Amino acid sequence: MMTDRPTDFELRLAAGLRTYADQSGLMRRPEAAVAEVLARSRPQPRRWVLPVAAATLVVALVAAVAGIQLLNSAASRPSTTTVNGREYRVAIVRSLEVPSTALTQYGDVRSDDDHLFAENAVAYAIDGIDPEVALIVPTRPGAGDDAGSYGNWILLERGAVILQLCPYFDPNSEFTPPECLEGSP
Amino acid sequence: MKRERLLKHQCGMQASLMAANGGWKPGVLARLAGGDRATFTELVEAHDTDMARLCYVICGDVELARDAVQNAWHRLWRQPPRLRDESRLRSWLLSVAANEARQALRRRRRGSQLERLAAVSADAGRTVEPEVLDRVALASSLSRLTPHERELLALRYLLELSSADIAQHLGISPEGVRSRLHRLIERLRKELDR
Repeated sequence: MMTDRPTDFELRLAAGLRTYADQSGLMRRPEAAVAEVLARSRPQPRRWVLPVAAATLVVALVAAVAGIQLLNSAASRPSTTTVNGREYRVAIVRSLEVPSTALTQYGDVRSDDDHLFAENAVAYAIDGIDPEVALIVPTRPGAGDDAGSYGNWILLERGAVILQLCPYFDPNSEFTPPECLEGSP
Repeated sequence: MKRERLLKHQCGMQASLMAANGGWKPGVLARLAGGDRATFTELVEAHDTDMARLCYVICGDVELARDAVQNAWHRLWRQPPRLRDESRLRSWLLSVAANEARQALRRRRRGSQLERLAAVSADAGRTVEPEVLDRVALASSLSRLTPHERELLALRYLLELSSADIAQHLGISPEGVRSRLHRLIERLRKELDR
């Protein structure tokens, strides 16, 4: 109810509002409203699948490109070699420069790969890095591929060590691993 | 005689609203949460028209009003509210629909049908019954009100809610409702009751 005794104007206003709101397109069968709600509530095709798939593809492509770069530059792994009875993966790290003051002789390299190492090559441990995880070996003079020289050192690794080696990479070199560039997480 | 007819109409309308409002079976929200379509359909049958008329007065556009109501129904179906008093579901539905209508109005910045109605020839919309306010003049006056003011008018004079119910709906005191209505009525009377 409006008031105990609605004024004449209020009654006219109420009637006017009813007339005003009496729009033909406004009223509809309840079944139509229910059907529409139920249709909207049905599980929709997973619209997120396509964007997620696209994003995954992009990430995979970026990772692949980064991996290829790494293979071509900082850490390609053509083979393994043995030092003091432990097997290490061999990685090319073209722009690695370690001062001799940070090196300690660790052991002889047992490898048939004379393409990479000089004869009777010696592996060195780097200060602050576990020698069971990573060593470096002088590169055979002149060793390289289409991308250029292999640099001065070959990396022997048994675990993830690139981040520990970042201080020794030349930041201006195109071969520096992406993980070591400024702004990398 | 005409005044009696209007009062009779209003009483009948109020009775139907009371039936819809008071006819709750316990557990209606629980049934809704369980996906009971029959309960949902009953609610739509009881309240869809009132919600649509309220939204239309607020936004002045049939399409926006229907969308607003549909959004309110969708919200109820997807996530029924947790109300301690289930008889307040009607108030909840009206609130949600009104809110949707106001939001839709904000999104659509172009002229609403309220303004278009106000712009048409007065002869085209003039009603023949003297006890009913001229539709075009009313639309013109409504267009100068805020959406909240139009909502208040619709709740009171279209859906015929009491001051106490409107107060609950709007979250203000019944005195505040009466005061606002009084000012609105006086304003509209000056514009329309000449």
